[in-house]
Amino acid sequence: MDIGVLLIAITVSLSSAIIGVFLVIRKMAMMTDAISHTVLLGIVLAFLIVPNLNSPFLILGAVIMGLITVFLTEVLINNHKISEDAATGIVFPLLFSLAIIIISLNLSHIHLDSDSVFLGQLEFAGIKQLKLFGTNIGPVSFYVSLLVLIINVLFIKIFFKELKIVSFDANFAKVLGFSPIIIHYSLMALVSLTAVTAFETVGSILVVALMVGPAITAMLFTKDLKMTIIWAAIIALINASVGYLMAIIVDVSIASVIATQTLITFLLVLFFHKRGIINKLIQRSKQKEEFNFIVFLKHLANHLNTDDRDEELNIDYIHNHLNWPTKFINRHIKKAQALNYLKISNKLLIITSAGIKYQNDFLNNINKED
Amino acid sequence: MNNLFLDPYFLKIAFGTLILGFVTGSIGLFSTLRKQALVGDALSHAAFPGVILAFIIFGTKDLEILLLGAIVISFLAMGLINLINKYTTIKFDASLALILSSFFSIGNVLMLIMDGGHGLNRFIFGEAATMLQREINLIVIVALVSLLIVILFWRHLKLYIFDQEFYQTLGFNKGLIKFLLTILTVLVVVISIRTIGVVLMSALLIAPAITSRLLSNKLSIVFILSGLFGALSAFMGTTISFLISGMPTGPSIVLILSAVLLLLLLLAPKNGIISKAVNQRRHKKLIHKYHPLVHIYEFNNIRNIDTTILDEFVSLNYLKFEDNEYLLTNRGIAIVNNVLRGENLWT
Repeated sequence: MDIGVLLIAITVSLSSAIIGVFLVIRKMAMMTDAISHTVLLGIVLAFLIVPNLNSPFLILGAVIMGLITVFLTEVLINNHKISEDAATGIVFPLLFSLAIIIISLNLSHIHLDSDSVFLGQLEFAGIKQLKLFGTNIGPVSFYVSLLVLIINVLFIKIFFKELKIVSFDANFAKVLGFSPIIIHYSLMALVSLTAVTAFETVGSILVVALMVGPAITAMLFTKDLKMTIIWAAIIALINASVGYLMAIIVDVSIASVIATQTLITFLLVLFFHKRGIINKLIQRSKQKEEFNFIVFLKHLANHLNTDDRDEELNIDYIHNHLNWPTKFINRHIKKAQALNYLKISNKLLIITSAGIKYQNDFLNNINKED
Repeated sequence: MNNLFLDPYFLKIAFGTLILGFVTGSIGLFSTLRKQALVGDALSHAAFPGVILAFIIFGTKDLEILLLGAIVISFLAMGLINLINKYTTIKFDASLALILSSFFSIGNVLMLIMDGGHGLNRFIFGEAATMLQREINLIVIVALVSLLIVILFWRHLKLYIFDQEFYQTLGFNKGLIKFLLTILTVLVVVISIRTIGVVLMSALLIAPAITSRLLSNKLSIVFILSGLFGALSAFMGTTISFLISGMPTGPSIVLILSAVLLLLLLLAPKNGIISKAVNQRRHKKLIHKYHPLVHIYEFNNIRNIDTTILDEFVSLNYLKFEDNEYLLTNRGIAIVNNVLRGENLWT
């Protein structure tokens, strides 16, 4: 076990998760996919100018390329009536293709092969150690990702109000006098920065899961923006730690397992949470059952004193009138008998005063709620 | 160059990619028009673990088996996205993004568990050069089936895409046609990832549709045009990747697709940037020229208008001078209407 790699995984996950919340609420989740691919072109172009894989100019190039991606997409959307997702789906393959072509024609000798681009190699991120006064103080990648995390946290902390208003009501933000465009592009610059640092360690496709996953998992159970960010961070922490441990056990790519774990966590919450799918289905069937019971009692109450009561309330014919299967009706009859809501005399189902009171109270309550 | 086009090996593969481009480009139109353009992107990523799983289970690299796995997992992914959509308030694009990247990483985990993938990673970028005759046959069959489905359900598809509510009120089942569209998309994605690769799939689905939308507003024409653009780009991209050694197929196809789109964005007769700019200038000039007429039409007076201009309009029969008053003739009113509506400016 390498504690340095675990720390890198956690810091990258955290910085991706908190910035991802804003992308999801701004409906730009797929933009992360685009940016995480196109930063490669930025890196490649910067590398052609400064042929050094460790140069900070590569990160600068990547951030600029991320902003260019957003800009080009918006130009297509605004000027040519192309829908947002279509514009994204055109711009990023083009920029990414350029990067791949440049790599395969000119730079095939350097370490930028497709596997590391897509999937990252977190395992090797710990190799390069930062030396301070002659002693190793941990992997370089850790300090880089920690720096990005601090920048992201500070940005969100300082501009929280602005981000919130711009994300939920851009026109209102304009009225208040600060430019949604500046906030938008600074956010996108941070997304590119996060993507490019994550790129080195977890790869371009998996960073999408790290950005979007924790945010939408948190949104399944919380609606408050601050709580969403906090929960997204907690979930990202859990995903990174659990994913790391599982990857060590199975001995496969750590980044991929973390991304897989992100989906698993999401699905667990989706199904098993208090307001999750399973509970929703149970609740729905309960409601249905209760509603049917009320309809049944109402039918009995309505026909209690009508002329056709011998026909309508007869235990042998009632399924024809309600158009329900006999088994289904028998269940309700038993339930009503147990609750003392009806008694059977001469094969007729006679509702008791308790039954009438119960269904009246129920219907009155519904009316009140409306 | 000449040698290449006489090479039966190249011709075979070029034919395969041509068919592939046609069917992918034309089917991609539907999801693009439904504003779900990136579904193809998600499906192609989600198909990746399907390919690996099929290989693990059946232990063969036969394309049919691998693609079967891809189809099953793509449907699973689509079902999951629909489930999230139905039971939560999470937006479509967010669930798409999560499914896309996490399924891809599951594929990667599986590939690593079985030790490096034995060349299965060519699915990531695509590779046309190693296409087998059997694979070309498969592409042709899938293309024919997809196009047949489209022809049979043409009216349903058309109505569903443009007005889902109206389609339902006519008594048709929305779920069924949605399922059909998903099948079509999954089929073309699955046969294409072998050639163009998982990552760049979305471009082949979207770019031809957007390009042909610039040229026509009629669905049948746009459908055929998208097919043609897709076929042309796939063919040229493959040719380029054969001519330049080390050039990957997927990216070179995307480059051609984008170049064609860019060209038509500039030059399309009605919706292109250039013709739009020209029309705008024309409109501005016309407004300037007929401004006095519009003024008379709106306010019924001739305040501040130079009488020489008015006399000129009278001589052109746009105005008549009666009882010391300038009145619009029918022709003048027609001109004013055209200017206001921005129509028929060049007549």
